[in-house]
Amino acid sequence: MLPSNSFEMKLKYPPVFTSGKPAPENPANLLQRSKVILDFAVLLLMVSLSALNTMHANAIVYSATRGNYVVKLPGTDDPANPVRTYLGIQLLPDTRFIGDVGSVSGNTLSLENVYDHTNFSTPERESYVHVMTGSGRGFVADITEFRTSEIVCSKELTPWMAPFTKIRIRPHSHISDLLGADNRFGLGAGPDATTADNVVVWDPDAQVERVYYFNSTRMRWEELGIEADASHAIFRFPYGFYIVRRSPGTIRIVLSGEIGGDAILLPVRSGANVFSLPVNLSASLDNLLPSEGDFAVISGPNAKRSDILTFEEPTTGLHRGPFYHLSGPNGSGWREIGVNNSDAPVAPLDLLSTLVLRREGNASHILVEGSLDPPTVPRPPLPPSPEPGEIQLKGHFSVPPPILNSDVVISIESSIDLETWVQLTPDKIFRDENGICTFDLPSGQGRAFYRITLTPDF
Amino acid sequence: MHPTFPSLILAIVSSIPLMAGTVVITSVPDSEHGLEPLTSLDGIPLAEGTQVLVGAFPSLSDDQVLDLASQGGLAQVSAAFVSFGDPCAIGQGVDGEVGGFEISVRDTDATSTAVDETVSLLLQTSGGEFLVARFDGNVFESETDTGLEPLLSLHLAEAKIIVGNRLGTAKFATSTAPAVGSFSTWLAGFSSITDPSMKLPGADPDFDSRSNFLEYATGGNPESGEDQQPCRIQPDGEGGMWVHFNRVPGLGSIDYSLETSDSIADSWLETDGLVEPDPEIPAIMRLHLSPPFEAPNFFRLKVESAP
Repeated sequence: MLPSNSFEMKLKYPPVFTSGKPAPENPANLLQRSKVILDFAVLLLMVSLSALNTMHANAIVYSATRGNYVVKLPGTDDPANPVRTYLGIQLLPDTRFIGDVGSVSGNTLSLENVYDHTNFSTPERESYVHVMTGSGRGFVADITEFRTSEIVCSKELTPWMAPFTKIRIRPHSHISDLLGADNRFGLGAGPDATTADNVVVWDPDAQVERVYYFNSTRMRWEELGIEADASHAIFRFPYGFYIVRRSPGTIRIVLSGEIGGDAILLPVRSGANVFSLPVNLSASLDNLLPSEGDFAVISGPNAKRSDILTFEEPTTGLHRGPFYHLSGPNGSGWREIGVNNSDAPVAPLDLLSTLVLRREGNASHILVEGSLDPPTVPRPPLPPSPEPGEIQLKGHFSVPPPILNSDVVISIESSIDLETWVQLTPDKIFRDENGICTFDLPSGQGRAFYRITLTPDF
Repeated sequence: MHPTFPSLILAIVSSIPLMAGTVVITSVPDSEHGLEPLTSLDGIPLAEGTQVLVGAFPSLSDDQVLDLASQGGLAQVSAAFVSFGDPCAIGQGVDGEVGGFEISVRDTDATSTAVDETVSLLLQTSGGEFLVARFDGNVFESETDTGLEPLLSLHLAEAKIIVGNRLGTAKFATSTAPAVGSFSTWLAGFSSITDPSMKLPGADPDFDSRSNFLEYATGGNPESGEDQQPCRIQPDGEGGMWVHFNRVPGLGSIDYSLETSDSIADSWLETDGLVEPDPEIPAIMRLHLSPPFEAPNFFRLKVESAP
């Protein structure tokens, strides 16, 4: 355990994950070690300070905002008639780096003022670069190698970034990150994929699905037809996935992580594509996707000549669309196919929607905007739906005693809309002698966002 | 500080059934599909109220559907038709414009007999005319347990019209039930033609210089060399001329085009004049020629089986 003055020192100096030289130890790592504990099929609430900004005297500093989505997955009484729930991955693994590019050449980049790029690799994880500024804003490239002096990516980078372009580095999620290596949420296991619940990732390049399931004999995740441990199967950003349930009863799963509100350039392939969308509090078709410019949807005089988009909302089960963008002599604008004068293009889209995009044309990128700004129109509340006999879920996190004993007041704030923040009060948090804090999650499903605030206690 | 713990928003997750599929069909023209507004047999653009049904004719070939239409009319065609999704209408998806539609139909019936069958369209006007179109090569797919929901995006101009009428590649019309069925069924009705070689589409058993296929497409009689010529030029009584030709209402797979040339030997082009149904007899199509007639002009009717 670090001494308390070590932590205070970090707060008084520039943050670790900027374009500056990485520090040997940092608050993020400190909190990573003390990260959330998950018990049963329970929420993983992990708080980190990876995005702390410089703390000035009398200033309140916020951590990166983290979120928890509790999502219900309906089951079926008839295994021959399975049900499907689409899920976007908007709550992401912790940022490992955010800062400026130093130089770019081919598929290689270096970071400004960084001397050892291997510091940003994550053991047993593949990582990616996400461009945050400039003309390539939203571009995503997988990292194939962290070298001491540079980072090698899977794609040509020069069209997308230049020196001083701001980028973010994160690891991709594994199936075990989301669902637990031990299948902690209790998806139906089976001796083979056809009898178990399935977790499905769509491969847009091959236009086929990749099917995973929890093998009840070997007690591990496996891919359909492959007898090997698939716990490290990658759920690659920015794609979505879906769960097909053949087992009875509703189960709840919790998605947890950093809020992904950055714009994304979706790599669209010819055929079908399944994407997660960035968090956008004002999400509607009209303001999520551009209809003109270099990274617009394919727009045409009719549906046949255009990209066709549908949105799957896991929390309501709604299937919205199909839509396309009309351009031509008959006008311009989003159309809901088969509906005259539809207001659907301006209607709020659920935050957690998954986009299924069908294209007959060539591959290209489409820019989709994220936004944590207050919504332009009120978001419809999600109706409560607790299940009889539902197991009480508990959230856990730990705060190391050195932090609590420092001259910095640390508190946890929560929000359900990312606008109004409420401090968690001691009567709702049960903290044991080891600093493990526990709180109840409401029944049903829902969403909550958390952040740590640090306030100088002078 | 208020001792509050934020409530999580609660929501219902309803299941998304598997075995769903979506078919999108548009008639809106584009640079590759120069389709004009759909009309009735007498050339009036179809209005709202005309029903558009997506579905299939399980196990029936194109010729069998046509025979069914000629023998039992719309009632028998409807009885053989399996709907996919909900009914739609002309004007839907195009803000009520006459003669067009752009629809999306979704079906979640895993036991539908439409699965693996050719996607078909059945239009029915309130006056009883109808049109049957089939999208060769496009079948309703059943959704697999783990695959994405199938979605087909189609343009009506790419469909094969089975029952109805077409003029060139751009004009489709509904029709009354055809008076005759498929070519083979029609020819089988002429008992005197027994020589197999005389039953071929290009054969001319009555030696009137009109092939069986031309007789079939223009309402002729392959056993008689004295029936009316299918294409005629007649004065309009006011100094102009009418070019008339016969068509058979309901034979949707027959593509009629009127060609013109200033030299009878070559350079035949489809006329760019307005070819329209004769309002008195919709089975007759006509083109008006206005004077002056300063140079020779030749016309011919071209009929072919649409691909």
